[in-house]
Amino acid sequence: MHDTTRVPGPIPTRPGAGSDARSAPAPRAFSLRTTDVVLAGLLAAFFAAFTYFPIHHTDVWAHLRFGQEIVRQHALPRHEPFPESLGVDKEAPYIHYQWLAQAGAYLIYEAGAALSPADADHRLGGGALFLVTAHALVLVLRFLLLYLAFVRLTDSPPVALLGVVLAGGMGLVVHLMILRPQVLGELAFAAVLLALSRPVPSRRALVWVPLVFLAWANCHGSFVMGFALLGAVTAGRALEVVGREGAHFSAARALLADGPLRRLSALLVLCVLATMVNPHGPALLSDSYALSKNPNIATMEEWKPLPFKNAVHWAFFGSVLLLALLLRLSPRRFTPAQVLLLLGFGLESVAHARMVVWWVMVFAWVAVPHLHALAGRAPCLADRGRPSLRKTAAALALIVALLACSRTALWLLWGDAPTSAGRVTAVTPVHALDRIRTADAVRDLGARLSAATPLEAAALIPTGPRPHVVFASETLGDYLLWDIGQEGRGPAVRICCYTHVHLFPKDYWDRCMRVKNAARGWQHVLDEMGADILVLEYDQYEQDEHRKRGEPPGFSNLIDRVREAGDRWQVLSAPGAPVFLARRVR
Amino acid sequence: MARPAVTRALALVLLAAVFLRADLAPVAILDSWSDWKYGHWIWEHKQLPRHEPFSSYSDPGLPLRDGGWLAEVTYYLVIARTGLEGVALLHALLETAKAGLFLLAVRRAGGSLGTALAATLLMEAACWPFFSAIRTSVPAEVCWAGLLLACSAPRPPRAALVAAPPLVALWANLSPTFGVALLLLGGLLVGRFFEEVRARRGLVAAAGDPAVVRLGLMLALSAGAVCCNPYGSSHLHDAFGPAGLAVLDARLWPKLIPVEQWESRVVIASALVVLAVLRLSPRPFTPAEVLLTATFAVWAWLDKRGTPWWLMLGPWLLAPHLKAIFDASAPRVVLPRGADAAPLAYALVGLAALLVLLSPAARWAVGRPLPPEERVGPLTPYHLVAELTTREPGAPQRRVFSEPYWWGDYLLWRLPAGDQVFWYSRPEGFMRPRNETLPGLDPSPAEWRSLVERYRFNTLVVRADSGPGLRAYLAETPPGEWVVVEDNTSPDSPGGGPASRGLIVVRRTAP
Repeated sequence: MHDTTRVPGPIPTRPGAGSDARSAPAPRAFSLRTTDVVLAGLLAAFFAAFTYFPIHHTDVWAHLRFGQEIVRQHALPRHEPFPESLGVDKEAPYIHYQWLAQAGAYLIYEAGAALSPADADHRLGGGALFLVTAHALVLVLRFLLLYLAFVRLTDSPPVALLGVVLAGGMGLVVHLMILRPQVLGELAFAAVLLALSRPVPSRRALVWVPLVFLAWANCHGSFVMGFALLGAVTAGRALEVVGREGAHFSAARALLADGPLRRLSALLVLCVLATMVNPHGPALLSDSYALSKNPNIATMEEWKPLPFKNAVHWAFFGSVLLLALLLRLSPRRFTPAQVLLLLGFGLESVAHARMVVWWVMVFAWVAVPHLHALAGRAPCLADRGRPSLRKTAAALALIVALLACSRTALWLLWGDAPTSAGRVTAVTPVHALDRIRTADAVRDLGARLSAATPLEAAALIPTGPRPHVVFASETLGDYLLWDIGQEGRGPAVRICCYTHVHLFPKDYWDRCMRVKNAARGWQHVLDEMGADILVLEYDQYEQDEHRKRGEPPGFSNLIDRVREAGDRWQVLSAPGAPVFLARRVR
Repeated sequence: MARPAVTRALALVLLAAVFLRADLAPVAILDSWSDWKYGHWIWEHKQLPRHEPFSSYSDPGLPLRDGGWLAEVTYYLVIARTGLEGVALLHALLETAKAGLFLLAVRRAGGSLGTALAATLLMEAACWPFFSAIRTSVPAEVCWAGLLLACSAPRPPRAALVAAPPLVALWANLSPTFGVALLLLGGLLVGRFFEEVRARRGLVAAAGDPAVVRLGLMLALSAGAVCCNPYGSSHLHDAFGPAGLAVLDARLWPKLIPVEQWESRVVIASALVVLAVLRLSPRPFTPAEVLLTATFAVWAWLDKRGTPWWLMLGPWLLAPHLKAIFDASAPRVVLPRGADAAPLAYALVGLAALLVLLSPAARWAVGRPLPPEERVGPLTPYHLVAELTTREPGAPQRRVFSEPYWWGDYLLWRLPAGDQVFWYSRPEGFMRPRNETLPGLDPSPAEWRSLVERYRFNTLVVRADSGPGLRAYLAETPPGEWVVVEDNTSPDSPGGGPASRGLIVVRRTAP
């Protein structure tokens, strides 16, 4: 017969307060355990390896451009300030959900660019490497916070390390490589998890957690995820009290008298108040809600439901299977807060792929105590070694050695200054504007491009007498928007759209989507926009289906349609080039 | 006369409600009309088609295995002799039989009629979109329920051993989905074998377990019985993945999890129920339960075609656990018994009778059947196609293009013999054109011209909202070459509505 008894979970205690720790002599300050050394090595290796990866061409470049504007003007623009962007409602107020992250990222980029040789390619490489380094640092901090949270939950460093590996592994599949202001929100989320990992949040948490929210509200609009987290834990605690007291009048009194609940409620209220300290004041909360209801947002892939044939789906699916095992086998009780968190974040993840980012941390936070209850006593998860200074020294040596191998160290210590190659993804149209200028000077340059340097595909666009109007996918539009804003960059170019989709009127954005999806009338829309250049990347979602049919991949069929419309568009990019480039036939 | 028990009376009410609901169902938009047409062809020719028999647009080189021939002929004979009301009654009876067999299966597995009632209610609610239309796949689902009943006892009785093979043989002639029967039996056998290996600590001892032996026999005999079909043993191979056959998109999940669809929401909800039961059930999960739950739940999550089977299997597997949970935690619902129960029980039996009397079948019995336009469903172009059901003597055969493609099913059923339908919801019907370049939704005038000229269509039947491109194309053609007939039926009238409104465009001159 299956053992149906449920052992109430041990009350989480402070790190090092377990029975083994009590029997052992008090460790010296700065003494580390074997697990700590392993963690230090893993994080340092992760940091070093991460600096070799390029910046993904998501929305990072438009944020940098906004940051540049803020830093240069020493003020927050009231409206979208870029004359190069078409279609944006220039009269509508611009809400600064992430001004601090934008300005900070720009300063970091500029620091890297300033240390580089003066040419544009090295400046881009240096700036991008500094950004990636900062990104890696934020991720390492996040893992460290998660580790501390898991240690608080389980009092077991090896299991906490397992939890970090779990969250990191899932994150690698899901989003870790993506640099955007949200990474600071994710760091703040991990910090809140750390505060919530005690049975009752400490008094100090009443001070520092609201400060985290204050920073979060100025760095990214995802601070509402923090409210969801705090709200679920508070509601879970309330349910626990009601469950204990039963549905009587006494339950109301018990709710009011319950210390942890009062502390959690106070924390929630203080955090809400803290988020009001921002350039827009309390209106930011209603603006955030309005942003979530913006109809353009729903057209973005990351806000759509989970795609089946995608690594993110498989990561989520795998976590649900692991959850099923834990639900059956864990001797610990699942608290109402855990159930609320799993249900809320799980269902939201199915409905919006972007939510998996938060699910990864919530899932790990819920799963780790149960993993500990289930497997914590396994010999392979025991760290019986005593903390010692020798281990601390070993950890330091490991960290120094690994950091010395990082790409950033190679540059700063040995002078190997990076260029853009390898620092930004191959799809990023890095030299587009330079080469447009070159091509302006040499109008009759050949139409077909070399496949050898796909990044430079955009370089050979012949120009007309008026500013070029470029229809790029919104992510490539981001880079072009950034590049236009740099001093002495290229000829006058206007872009039709970029990733700040909420800035565009719905009708205009729908027309952009019609072009992107090659829906009926896409040519007509491009005619209306006056677009004479197309810059597109190949869509990952479409590739498999095209390959199955033995066709080259296309970007939501638009590339196929452009190829077919040879009387109107001349394809300039070579087959297999990561960037698809076409110009209007004059 | 014995007094009826309240629980049994509740079961009667449930079955009557299922009967009423199923009898109100319209004909499914996919498959049904074309399936009946295939039944007609088989009955007329007294043989099975070797390739797609109706359309010159299909590829004659593609072999056709008609795994549902028996259901097609049965449905055809019923509609030919009794009309749409007869088919509706057949559907209602089959759905009721399915629910009844399922109820008995869960009762046998869970040991309580109350739990069985709850599980059946759950199953019917979950399968709502699947049983809300008349489909020729329902007989196979009845077989599935029957098989679940046969497998409900811890050790299958002799009767199950005798009943299962003919049931699976019948299924193999009713629908190509019979593979799930073998999957179920195989899962039960493997699970039971593991259980015995763990209990007896020996492979040989486990293999000698009477339940293992009986399940093994059931599986072997059923696999053998599958071969009793017109295609022999090759049909068995087809069940687990016929090579080269296209699958309609409508039968698969789209690229993104369709959270707005009922079927998808039900699968997600079923996953939550499984997780909750995993946590809360005080009963041990047997290896067979784990194996079958994992297999079918994952299948349904990833492939829409697994959904109807999972939504019946899930409640059946979980019913004993649900009962254990309620027994352990919830206060028992004590229904009146004995003399106290009689008035309530009689009232419930009366309610069940009333539900049956309210059904269209009862109206049909007294000579007031539902009008056919209410049977065809809101998505079928009933009024529109009425224009095409006859052809003048000497008039050329029609070559008909329809948009959406599944209007082709209804056209196939209604058009006179000899008219050619471009495509319908059988992959083998339009395999060849599908491989060629066809315009996407809302074709441009140039795409219409190319389409019409390439396939020499002389009749176009399209939905009203896909008309702009077509109208632009017609405006470019010489006046009088095409005649446009629009559906002017009121949207509020039976058989009318925006989803079935369309226009017919007929070419006057020979192409």
